Amino acid sequence: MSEADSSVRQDQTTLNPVVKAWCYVQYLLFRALLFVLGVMPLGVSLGIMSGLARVAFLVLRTRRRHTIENVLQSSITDDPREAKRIAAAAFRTFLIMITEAMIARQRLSAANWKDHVQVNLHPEVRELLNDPDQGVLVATAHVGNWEILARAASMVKPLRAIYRPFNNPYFDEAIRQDREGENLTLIAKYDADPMRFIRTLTEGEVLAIMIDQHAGNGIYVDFFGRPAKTTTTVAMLHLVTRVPLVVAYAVRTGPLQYELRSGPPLTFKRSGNRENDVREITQTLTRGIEDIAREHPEQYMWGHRRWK
Amino acid sequence: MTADLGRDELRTALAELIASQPDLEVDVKVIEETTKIEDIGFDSISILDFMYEIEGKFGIELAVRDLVEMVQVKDLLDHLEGKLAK
Repeated sequence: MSEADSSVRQDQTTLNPVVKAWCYVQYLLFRALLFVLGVMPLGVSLGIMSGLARVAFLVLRTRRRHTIENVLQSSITDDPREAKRIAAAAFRTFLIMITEAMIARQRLSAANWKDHVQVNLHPEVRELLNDPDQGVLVATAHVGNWEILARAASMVKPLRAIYRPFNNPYFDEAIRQDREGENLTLIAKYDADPMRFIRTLTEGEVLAIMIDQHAGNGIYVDFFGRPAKTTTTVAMLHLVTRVPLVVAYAVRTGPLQYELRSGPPLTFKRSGNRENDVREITQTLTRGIEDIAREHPEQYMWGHRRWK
Repeated sequence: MTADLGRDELRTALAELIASQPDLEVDVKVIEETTKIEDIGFDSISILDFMYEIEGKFGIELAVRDLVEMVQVKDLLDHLEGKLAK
């Protein structure tokens, strides 16, 4: 059992009985959902989730308004009707993404993953992935299907993804076990082993990090013309390990069909001014994410509180 | 920093660097050569700041592959000594 596992187990024992029971109910519901999705035809699952997304878009008024505002303020469009359409599509994408991610965990294997994922990576990135000794630092975001991205990329090269553990320890353990695969491991954001991230890269694996969440201890960079606090971990990992950076994502092209895409590998030299270097790297990566979201606005998660 | 640092000076310089880490609550007086690096209190993020600053302070380029194999402060000092002697 890893140290991250130990921390989850400790949380279970320290919960008060009512919270613990509620957490367990959520866990059972999740398990039931997994089972149902596993036996249900794909088209039916997606149809149900599309319907749920429409209901959610109607009912969750605050979230809907917030999503539309984010689309408008990002200058994706200045037409409120078009912004509403994009926001509704983003709601649908999110639920479809979760559904297909759960289905993919059961149905995608080393033998058949290429039937579902078309690989369209930059040629130099392909070379990096094919070199067993070469670590790769992947920056990605809440666009398309990040779970499929991790699962598909791990078929090419062992991948560790940094994630934020869920507050529900049962749920967290279940999700983590379910999300992990043969070559896919999740690392808690604050892992007990300080060398874990670095070791992943020096062992020739992929380390994947989402960079489009509000990072309380990050720095402000420009994202769609507005300052957004962004993690500096990727920049620091690059400056310390000198492992190439890649912006990658999986865009949805059809039911359980995705295309894995990436930009070219990026490397930055130290200038002697750490603050500037970290800012330049973080801004470059964030601009890369912005370009992707601009190209696929219906597949970007506009609803999260990116700008605080 | 120059290559003519003795072991004691190197240890002092490293202790100063550890003490200057903003997110680290550690009494450097209790850190000895046999102290495990993982016991100093770094997390996955603060260790990056520390490593970055080591390079700046000593004017060297660390071999990260070697660093991940280091267990004790002694290993780090040996590595720095070797780098500075070149």
